[in-house]
Amino acid sequence: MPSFHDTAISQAPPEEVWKLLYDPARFPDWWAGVGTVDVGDEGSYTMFPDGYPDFPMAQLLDTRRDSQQVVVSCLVSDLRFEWRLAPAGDGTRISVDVDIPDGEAHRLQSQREVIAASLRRIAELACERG
Amino acid sequence: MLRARLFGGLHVEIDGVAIESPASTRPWAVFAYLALAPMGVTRTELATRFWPDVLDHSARASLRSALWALRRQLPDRVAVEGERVALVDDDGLWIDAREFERLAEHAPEQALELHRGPLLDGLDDEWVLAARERFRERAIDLMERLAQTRERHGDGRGALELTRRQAECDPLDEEVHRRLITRLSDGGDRAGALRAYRALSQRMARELAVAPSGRTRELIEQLRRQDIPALQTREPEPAPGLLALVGRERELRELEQVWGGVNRGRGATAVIRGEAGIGKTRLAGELRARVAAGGHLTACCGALDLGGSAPLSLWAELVRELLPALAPPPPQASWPQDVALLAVELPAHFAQAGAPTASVAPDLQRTRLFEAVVALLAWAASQRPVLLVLEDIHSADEPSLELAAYAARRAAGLPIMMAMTRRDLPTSAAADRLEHALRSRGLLACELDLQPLAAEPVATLAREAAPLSEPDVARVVANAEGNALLAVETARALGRGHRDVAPSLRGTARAEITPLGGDVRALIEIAAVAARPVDADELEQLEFQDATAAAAEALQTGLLLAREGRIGFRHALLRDAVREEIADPRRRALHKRWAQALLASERAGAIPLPAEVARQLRLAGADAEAVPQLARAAAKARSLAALDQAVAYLREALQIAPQRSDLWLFVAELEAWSGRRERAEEAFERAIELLGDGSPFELARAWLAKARAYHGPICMPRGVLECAGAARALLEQAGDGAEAERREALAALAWAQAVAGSADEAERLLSELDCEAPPGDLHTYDVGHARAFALMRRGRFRDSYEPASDAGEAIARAGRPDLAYGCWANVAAAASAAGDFDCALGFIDRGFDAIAGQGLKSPEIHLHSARAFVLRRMGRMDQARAATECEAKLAAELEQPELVAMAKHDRAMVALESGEDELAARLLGESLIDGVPISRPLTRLALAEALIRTRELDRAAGELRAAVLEPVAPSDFPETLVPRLARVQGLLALAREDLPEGELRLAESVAGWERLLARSLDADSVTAVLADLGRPVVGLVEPARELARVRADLQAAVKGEPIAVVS
Repeated sequence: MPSFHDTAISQAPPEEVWKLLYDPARFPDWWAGVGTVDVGDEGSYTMFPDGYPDFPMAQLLDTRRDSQQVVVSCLVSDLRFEWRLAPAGDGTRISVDVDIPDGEAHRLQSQREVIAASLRRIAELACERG
Repeated sequence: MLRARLFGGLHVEIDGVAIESPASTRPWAVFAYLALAPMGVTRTELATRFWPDVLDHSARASLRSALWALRRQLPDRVAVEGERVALVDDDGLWIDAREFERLAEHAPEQALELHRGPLLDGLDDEWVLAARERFRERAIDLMERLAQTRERHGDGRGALELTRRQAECDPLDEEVHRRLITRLSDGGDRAGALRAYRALSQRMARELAVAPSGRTRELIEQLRRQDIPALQTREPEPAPGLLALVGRERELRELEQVWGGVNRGRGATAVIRGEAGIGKTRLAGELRARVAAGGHLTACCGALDLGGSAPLSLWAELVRELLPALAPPPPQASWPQDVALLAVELPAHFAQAGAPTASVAPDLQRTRLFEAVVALLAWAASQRPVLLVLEDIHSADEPSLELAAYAARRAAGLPIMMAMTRRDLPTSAAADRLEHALRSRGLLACELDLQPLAAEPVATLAREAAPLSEPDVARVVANAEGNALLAVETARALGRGHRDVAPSLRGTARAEITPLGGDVRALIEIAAVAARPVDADELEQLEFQDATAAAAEALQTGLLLAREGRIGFRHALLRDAVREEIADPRRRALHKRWAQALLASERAGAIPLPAEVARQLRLAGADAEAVPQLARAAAKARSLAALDQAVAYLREALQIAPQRSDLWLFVAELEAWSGRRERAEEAFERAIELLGDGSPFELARAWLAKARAYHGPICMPRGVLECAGAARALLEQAGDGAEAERREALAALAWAQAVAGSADEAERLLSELDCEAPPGDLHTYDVGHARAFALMRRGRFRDSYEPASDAGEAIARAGRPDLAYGCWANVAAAASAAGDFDCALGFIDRGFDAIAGQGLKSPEIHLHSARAFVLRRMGRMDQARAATECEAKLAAELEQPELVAMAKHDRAMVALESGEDELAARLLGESLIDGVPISRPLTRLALAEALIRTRELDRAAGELRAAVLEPVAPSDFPETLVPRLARVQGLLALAREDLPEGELRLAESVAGWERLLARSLDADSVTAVLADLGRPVVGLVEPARELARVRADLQAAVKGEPIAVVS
């Protein structure tokens, strides 16, 4: 299964990054390619890609007690994003691990770019809030 | 000639030829009746006796038919004259029962020879039972008359034999057993007397559900207070244990001072430390003797110095020693049933058989057992002050020491003293922990480190041990180096004329046993490998030619001592010295012989000791034979909630027999209950792998066991789905005959779907279950429990009340109060979520009812916690505070840090809403320890809020930071964390007089709550709380209420008013 890891440092404190990460309704503000989000029940929500308002991508936001992670799974494509936060001086280290199913291996490069852009954006956005 | 035997069963012969005469048929039953009636009986009597339920003419017709059949088989032997029927009584008739009556007066021995068994054995008509009893009493009378005659003629053995026959004749006759006990005791067989009593009390408990009468108990208590006359009188010289205490006067005074305080009602413990042989046991024994002389209760126990002691073995011994002196507790006391796990004879002793204790999960069992032992101690102390002596705690099993710490703490206000002896080597972390726990609570009133004796006391000991010349006394002093045991042994050796006194105990031991042979030497060596004193029952099983003579001769060596019905080495060091003298092949054979004796003793009615048997078999090199014993030891340990020890036994067995899938399953279950998920899963995998090629049914059972672990101790609903699904598929292949397993798989799947899968699928499975399973309490529970969860998942909280209540009531009837508690706690959470707070309180009360009197303190704590939450939510702060105080009190009693911390958290939340900010901040800070069933991020946010109010703003900011770095689980209500965090950020900004930032954050919080308000988030959060934290209610979220609060905060901020404390 193709996978990759990426990381970024935000000058914002972890609290501000954390609020963006834990609130799916704010994903469109920083997650590249996400146009809108409908939040549903049972930890699920639906992301609509930019430019494709009729193409819902159901997601599941999960949290792990033991590893301080936010896990976002795409129920349509089986893409899996694991986000982690850690203090870095006055700021925050944001890490993400992405697993891509074999059937969608061709999306590896585009996902690298999307996630890199998203990391930059969430890091900046958290500073704006701070 | 017609001969009929009625004793032992009907047997009829004509002219020496047996004829078929089944007493179960009416004709032969009529014959038996006639045989017991020399004068004959009327037709009417026979007809009404044998055909009572039919009309008279039908009965008479049946009688005619029966008599015709009899007369056909016994021509001319049945006389029917008008109304009268009889057997023809002439020289051609002989009936044993009639002969018995005839001989009884003038030839009782011949009469008894005829009494070969119960009259008409196998036939249980009412008239037979009455006749049987009459003949039995008559036979017992005759036997007793003969026994008394033999006693008068000095034939004690013959009298005893006749008394045994009386007991066999009526195993429930107390008077007969009292005679047996007395004659056994008078004959020097005190152990046999105790055994007879034990057999009687167990039989009475089993068959009649009563205990022996007070008269019988009094007899046995008198007996227990005596020593064994036969063995004691044969002791050649005073044993060292009986020498005057020398050189320890100061230490004894200290112990007596502690006892003085105990006598005044204050519990205390003392520890006596020192090297082997320095005099610890002698000092503790002296204290015990003085306490007993004062009429107080004492009991003593010692660790098995062999490794692998059975869990709680020290307490089993203590309970047994205390038991004879205890009066029966009030009938409503439940502790005798619980303590019976340690001492099986206890309920029968108190006439409390027949009320078995309800089973509960292992995690609750331990506390219940510990509390029951505390209750027993309290009961004993209510009669007289109690001294408990725990010997050699450095070798003791860990649960015994944990219970010692628990009991010392819980019984601190009672007149109970625990005196413990220990060596510093070998080191024992468990003994260190016990001492530390006692010391830190101020319960360790006395710590004695025994130093080597000075020269003068050693000389005194030497003179008392043997008549020695002064130069020999000087040799003893030089050789002993202040060690009391070595001094006594050296003195004894010199006193016996051994001039080349060996400088070591091993030399002494060698000198004593070398000249011995046969059974005497074998007995001494077995006492050495047994590593504990041997009782008379066990001695009997060793099959010596003359066990009593061997024991007496072994005592002559001075190595052994007879005390309280047991023979053992006078000191562990002597025992070790003898053991080291035995060459390896012989030592293994002795271990084997001892193991076999223990098993034989068990078959004869003694308490099973599988852990000890297993250890002996392993030392004997008989590893394969040890495996089943280790499995039994594990089962016993599990029943005592000693899970770690049970796992250790099983792991040991699996090292020998790694292919035993059943043992892997057992160990997996125990690892799961111990909270070691990975090890549990690994063990399950091994079992499943081993069963892979076998029958689908066995494999399905393994998957079911795993599902059970995920359903219970591990609580992983998704795991249940996988495992129960696999089991179900395999059971389809297994064919018919696995209904119970199918039902279990289905119920587990339904529950798992209800909790973490699809509520619709759960409903479908429940419908299937309804069709397949037979009605009953377990079925009602399975269905109701799962259905309630499914309804909660859908947010239909009120609809869940009925199935949850049905489940709670059903499982309580099925004897599982712990599961019933769970049902009531869950439905209380549902009622809270629905806003039915009064209803929630009612359900919580049902939970209290379900566990009342069951000793389940942990669930009780959770119920108080739930009650506090609901009351807080209702604004009834005083009552909420009182509930948290009950919670804290119980948690302190249990001394489980996680529960203590949970109680602090709950009290803090009441404090936070009552304006007790400093208290709230302190308690919230203290509650954040590992393993507490609270939401850590939410607790940190609450703590930050409390710190803002107490103006500790930097600390508050630190807590905000810590909150976002905490791991988050569904039970932390993750969706609500963002607006909650924003609110506290706002409060902090306002406290720092940064109004714009404060308003911004509060507005952010308002926006967050507004978004959540549009959605239903309660349902999943509630089930997540129940599954993740195992707690009923820990903070339901009400977005509307939260929104109103933040809006009020914002409004106050804009107006420059203070933020309200109470929401």
